Amino acid sequence: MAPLEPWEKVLVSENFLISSHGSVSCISCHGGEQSPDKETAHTGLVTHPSDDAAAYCATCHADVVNSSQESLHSTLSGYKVSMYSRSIPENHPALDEAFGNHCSSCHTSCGDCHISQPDSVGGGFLSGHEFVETPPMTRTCTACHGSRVGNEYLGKNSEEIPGDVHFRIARMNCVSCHTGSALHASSVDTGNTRYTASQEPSCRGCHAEIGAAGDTVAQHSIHQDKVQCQVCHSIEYSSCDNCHVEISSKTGNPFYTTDAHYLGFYIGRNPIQSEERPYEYVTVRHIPIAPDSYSFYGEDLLPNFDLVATWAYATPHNIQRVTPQNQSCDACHGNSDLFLTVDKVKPEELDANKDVIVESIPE
Amino acid sequence: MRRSIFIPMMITLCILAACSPASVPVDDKEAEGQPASSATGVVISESSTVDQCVECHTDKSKLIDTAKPEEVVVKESEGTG
Repeated sequence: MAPLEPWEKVLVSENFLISSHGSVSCISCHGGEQSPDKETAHTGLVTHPSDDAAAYCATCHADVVNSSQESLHSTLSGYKVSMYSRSIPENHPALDEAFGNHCSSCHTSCGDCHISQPDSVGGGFLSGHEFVETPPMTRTCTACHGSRVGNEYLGKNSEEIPGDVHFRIARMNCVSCHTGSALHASSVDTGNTRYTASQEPSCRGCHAEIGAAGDTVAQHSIHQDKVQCQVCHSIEYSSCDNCHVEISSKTGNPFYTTDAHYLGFYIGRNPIQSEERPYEYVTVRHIPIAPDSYSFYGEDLLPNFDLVATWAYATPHNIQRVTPQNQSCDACHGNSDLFLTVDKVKPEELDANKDVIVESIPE
Repeated sequence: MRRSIFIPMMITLCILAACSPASVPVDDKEAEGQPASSATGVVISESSTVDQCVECHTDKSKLIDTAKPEEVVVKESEGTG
């Protein structure tokens, strides 16, 4: 969708005015003053009231505000966990500064999904300031989650790599699987990262017959709980190398540089094996991190870089019923091309990935 | 005969009177012509009052006339974000 015109971004619709939220005066949420003069009217303007959701949204939506303020979308705590786990407490202030300059702009408030589209697609109202209960996929979800998940799901990585079957055939959007309650859920009790929480959504949430009595696909019974579903049912997906962040000496604006972006399919050993994710083999992708990613903010800020794998547990969003690796036993077993072997890992990252690298290809 | 009709009629009138709405106190603010407060404390705008915010933000031509040109942001980032 083409970016909205400046006037279009702030044009309020008649439908909003007759909605329940439209019965509340503009100034109640946005401040400012009643005046025909633009400058005067915008004195003390609060452009994003839901940044303080407790004050503006919780009056009517207390439950969802209370939990969503602790959700990953709101806190972005996964970033901090990732940064801190490779560092030491003395470096946290410098990493916090980097986080504030480069990562925190992805923070989402209520209005960022339900009223406006993110700046990455030009900003502006989704629909004339109407409160959209279900955020539209391409104008909100994949506007932020685009380069990996969005491109995979919609089949934008390559003409040879189809989009996810749930999109192509079933025409499902993000919230078909990622329910509102899950998206608004607090992450405080689940380790503050995406993959330490329970598997929600899980494939079996819909496909309960997989591996159950009566399942006619023998491979399901043989591989279940040993192999993550995506190992057999996803195809090439993207990986990135490094994400070096700096503040521009020319403009004073934060910017990033990623070293490489490439497509591939890699089966690794599960670096986060748990009762919830018991699989021995999972799909892994290289995440945009390197020892010098935050060097602009200080020397050696990630002294424990080798404690966390750079090839991370991944859930590619390009599920197919039929894939090259599930055509036959031999298509996968003994096929070293599919596995993250030592030769595919940078020498300086071998220690970090020692628990992920597959040393012996399953025969 | 007349008495037998009169008594049930009086009883019916008493029941109907009991069902009628109680007198509703007028909101002091409404009486003074100020916006009424909702149960949540958020100020509800009166339909009869001209809301300057709505006046402008529902008028495409006014928004076009008063829009500031958008700053062209120099893209300094490189690679896939």
